[in-house]
Amino acid sequence: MTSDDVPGDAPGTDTDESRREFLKIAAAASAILALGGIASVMKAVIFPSIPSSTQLTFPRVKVASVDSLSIGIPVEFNYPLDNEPNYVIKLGTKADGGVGPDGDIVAFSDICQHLGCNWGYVAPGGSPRVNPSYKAPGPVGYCPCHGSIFDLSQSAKVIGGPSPLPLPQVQLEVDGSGDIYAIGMGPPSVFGHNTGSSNVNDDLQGGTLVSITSETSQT
Amino acid sequence: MTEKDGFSERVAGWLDSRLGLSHPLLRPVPQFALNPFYWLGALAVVAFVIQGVTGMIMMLYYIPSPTQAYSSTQYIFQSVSNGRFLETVHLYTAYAMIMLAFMHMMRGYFVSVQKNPREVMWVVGMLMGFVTLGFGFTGYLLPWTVVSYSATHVGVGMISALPQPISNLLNFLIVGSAGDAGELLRFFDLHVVILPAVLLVLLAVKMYMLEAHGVADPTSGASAEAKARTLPIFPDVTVYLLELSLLFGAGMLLISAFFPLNLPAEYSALTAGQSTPQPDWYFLWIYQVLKVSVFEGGGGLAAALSVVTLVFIVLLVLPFIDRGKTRELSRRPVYVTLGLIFVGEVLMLSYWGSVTPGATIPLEQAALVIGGTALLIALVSLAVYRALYSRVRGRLQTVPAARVSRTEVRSGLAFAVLVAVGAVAIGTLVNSVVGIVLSGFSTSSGELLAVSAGTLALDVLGTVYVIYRLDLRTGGIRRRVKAFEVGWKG
Repeated sequence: MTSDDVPGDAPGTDTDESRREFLKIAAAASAILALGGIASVMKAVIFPSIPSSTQLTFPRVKVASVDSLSIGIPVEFNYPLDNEPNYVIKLGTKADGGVGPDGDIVAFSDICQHLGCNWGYVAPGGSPRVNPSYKAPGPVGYCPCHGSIFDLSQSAKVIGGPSPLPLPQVQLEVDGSGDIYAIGMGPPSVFGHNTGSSNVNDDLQGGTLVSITSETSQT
Repeated sequence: MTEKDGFSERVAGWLDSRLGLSHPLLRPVPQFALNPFYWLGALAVVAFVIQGVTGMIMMLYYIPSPTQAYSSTQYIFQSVSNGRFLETVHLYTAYAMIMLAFMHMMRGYFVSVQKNPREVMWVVGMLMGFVTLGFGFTGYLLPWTVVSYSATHVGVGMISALPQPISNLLNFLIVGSAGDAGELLRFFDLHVVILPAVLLVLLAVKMYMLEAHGVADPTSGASAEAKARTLPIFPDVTVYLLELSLLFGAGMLLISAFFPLNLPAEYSALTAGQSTPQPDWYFLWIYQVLKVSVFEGGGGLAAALSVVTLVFIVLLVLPFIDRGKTRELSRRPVYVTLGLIFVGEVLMLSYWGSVTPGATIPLEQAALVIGGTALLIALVSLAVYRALYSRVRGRLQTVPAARVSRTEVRSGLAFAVLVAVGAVAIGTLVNSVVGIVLSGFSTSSGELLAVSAGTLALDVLGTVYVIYRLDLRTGGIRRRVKAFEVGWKG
């Protein structure tokens, strides 16, 4: 643009100066607004506030029946979220927190407390496939990732390996007809849910709770 | 153009005049750069293009949902025409891309391309390297096999060891709150949309800077005249690059044809409990660091991740750490040795990680092996520096460094090997003696003792023999000893 076209807008004139000032202020204001918006979104992401009004409770879900379980054969079910595997196992000997006629049916989160791998069941005297030199002293859970070992007859106490915490135990209930229901989780919280916390309500956040229909059809 | 031109000349002429092919748009390339080592990054880009093409074909079939990811991958393997070949090419070219990026980085480091004025190019290149690793991490989950799912979840599980704000942000970005389905979709989106877009932008920025600064001169040996000889980007360099790319592409296709992939089993918690997941080879060195016993248990993971993060940060800001002006290899013994140690440790840890899946490494063992590797490489590197370059600055300037004779290089290498073997033998000897003292004699420790003592004896004999032969032939040892003495004193 030359001064011949629009004389009032010639460089250095008052109109030009004020127009520049206006543009600068507008740009700065939009930048501040944009940054503020981004900051508020980031704050919500980084420091989320979990509304206490939507307090969830553990669902009651059928996971197996006493008759369907045989000793030493784990059955997998998802609980409390629909992508979190657990095992229900009939150990054959009375166990802490065990249910059923012999008090030997227990269930634990299948997610190791060390780094979130899935552990596998090893019967007394048996060896995990990944470590044939290890002989289980009792019914144990053996994590193939780093060799954490959990004593399933003693509420999954850590008896070896790097896991800092025992496995969360699923609270079970048997009704009159022999159906086994999961009704809640014991501490600590499931791996990945505010890991290391003893607040089991953390288990209910961060996903979709299992629905009763999908579980009954699975067993 | 005249009437006598043939058809092909006329077509070429028409294309040239309309498309401006021979117009000198881009900076010409110096002739010395027509060497594959100058095009490692370009080959990584070629690998990226192959990834794009094969990936887009697979996207026609792949379904990113937990229930269908595995079955749709299986469909590509079994039912799509040449689907298995397609998957194999995609994976192997991804491996090649990571390998080329690593080689590109290390070559750049050793010849100091990151120095003034190319510091920002290095930083952008490192970011591209991180994006490349991100491709590997996100792509690993997609087939939903037992290893890929478990290994990815160990990686994701590490997020929980980070400080709360960072872990919240990462959880939001790559995990989400919709369970497996949401997470898989995020990984897929990152893999096929976001990371490629970021990589392309970074590539454009880097190419712009390459155009501004040109190819870095060789560190030494090129005369000003040789540096001035250039070739136009079209047709010479273009044809050269096409040849190189086709050779690389053909190589990838051949390897894929000869070593086709097998799809591992589908993920389920039951199968996962029976197999040890391992990351893919490019993350094995990190995996091995995390398995050192001191990093297991409460707070240890955060410490281990800090160590690994520190390595990446140092790599990122390297040009601002190594601020020496010279680029010549012979004048940078410390940084070259550090680079060799880095490469050596990465190779050693990766191999070690691959053979000890799931096993925790005792701290003493880790310190011995990691420290030993560093010490060994440092000693060998400094010995080679002494042997090759000591006379440059020493007082016995009989031969210029550039004309070190072949015999001397050979004997220098022989000595380096002998020193290395000797160091390992001494280390094993000490180790077995300590073992016997601490935990009593056993057959295996006795064997180790005998073998290491025997090796050491042979090594000493070999050294004596080499010294004898050398002196007999050239009298080089006497001269060398003199050079060393002067070097040490000076």
